[in-house]
Amino acid sequence: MANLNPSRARSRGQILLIAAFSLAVIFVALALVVNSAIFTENLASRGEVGGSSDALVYQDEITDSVGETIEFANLYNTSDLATSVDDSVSTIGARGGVQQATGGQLVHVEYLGEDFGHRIADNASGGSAFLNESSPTATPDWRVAETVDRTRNVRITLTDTSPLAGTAGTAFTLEANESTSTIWEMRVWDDGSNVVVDVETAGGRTAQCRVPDTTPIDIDVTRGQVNGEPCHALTWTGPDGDQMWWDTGLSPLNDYDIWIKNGDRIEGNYSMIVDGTPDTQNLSSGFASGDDPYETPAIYSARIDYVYMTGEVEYDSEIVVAPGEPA
Amino acid sequence: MRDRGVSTTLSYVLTLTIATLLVGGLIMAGSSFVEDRREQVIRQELRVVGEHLASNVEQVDRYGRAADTVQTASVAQNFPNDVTGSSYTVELKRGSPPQLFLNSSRPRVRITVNISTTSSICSDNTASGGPIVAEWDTGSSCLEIQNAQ
Repeated sequence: MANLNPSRARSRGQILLIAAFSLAVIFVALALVVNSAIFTENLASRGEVGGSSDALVYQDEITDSVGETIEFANLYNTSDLATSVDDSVSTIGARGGVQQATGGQLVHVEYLGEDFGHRIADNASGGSAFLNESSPTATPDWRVAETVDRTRNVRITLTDTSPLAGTAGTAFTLEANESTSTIWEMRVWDDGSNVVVDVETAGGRTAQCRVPDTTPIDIDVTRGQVNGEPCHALTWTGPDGDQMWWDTGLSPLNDYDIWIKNGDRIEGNYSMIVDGTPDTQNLSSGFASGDDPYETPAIYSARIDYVYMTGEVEYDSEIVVAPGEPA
Repeated sequence: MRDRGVSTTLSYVLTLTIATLLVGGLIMAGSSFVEDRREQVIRQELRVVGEHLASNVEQVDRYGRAADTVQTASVAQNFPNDVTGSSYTVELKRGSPPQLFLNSSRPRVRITVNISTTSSICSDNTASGGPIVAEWDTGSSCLEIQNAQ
């Protein structure tokens, strides 16, 4: 038979050709979608931006280190506290900076300044009653400091529980006294088998915690701990948000006085750092190892400039370091 | 015998028509499959970007509350400029809780991510895809996002 359509031989399969091109485009688009899906899985598996939580972790470490430096200077330095803390902070910053730099982080720590206060303590060897400087007669009720704005690191160590009162009425009392009607107080007494730490806030809320009456007993009033464990009476937050911490209920705008009452109903040692004026009629000046309480200049708090930077993170803050300040 | 020329042409046309219909159907099914998958992947990618950005905003919130005075606090991250070929924007909106809205342009996909922060959001602001930085506004003590320079 004759070939009736000779010209069509060269144009056969055009539809199949178009279909093949269209399918090829579809496959390329599908490859793009699959690629995006793989990238999404990769993005989802990544953790936080590198170094973002380390900024705060290292800030806490710096705060702790500088806090210990302040405490050391307050205990052992007799002159130029600020310079000694400044030098220590420079050392902390230099060494920490090198260590952080090896991990790709830029850290800068700088001492900005300090607020001075006073350290008040009674370090009698073996403990003593909490009486004022015995000149001419020691009294059990006496004012420790006046016009106090802030207090930190109030620590009491009981070395003998036999002088403790048997009831709250005659118990040793530590007071933060803003006025006759606005007083935060902590009483310590022995109910026969336990030492009771009894707190009453200026708002009238009360709470107690108990520990076995085995000495030594450490009461960290401003940190809210007894023998290293949290004390309910010093840390509890009520359902209305009212707290039991030191000086709760006192106005932050007003100063207060610190009093010891029934100081003859306790035996041990104590220390505190106050941002206020020690009552020099009841305290001697300068370190003393006898049973008379004394006051020395101390740094209440220090301000530190802290900078933490990586390629993605930038954090620059001013930290106030006041170890043992109530929450 | 005289109808043979008609049957050849008819057969040819029928073959072409059926082939065209089959191929057309295959292409339509293929492209709608790709479109469908693309929208799914865009949705998933926007959610992942949103979760990362929300985590950065929450981290900056923690920075803002971690010290007595904060001069600067920011976390930047390089997000993709587009999601599966579609550009997108990120809106940070105030509210309770504050929310991130991620919108892609073609196809129109909208994802919402809740953020949990203690500090407030400065104001409703928008950033486009790419490097985005979550920042702390020192003056107003609030959070915001913007494109990194």
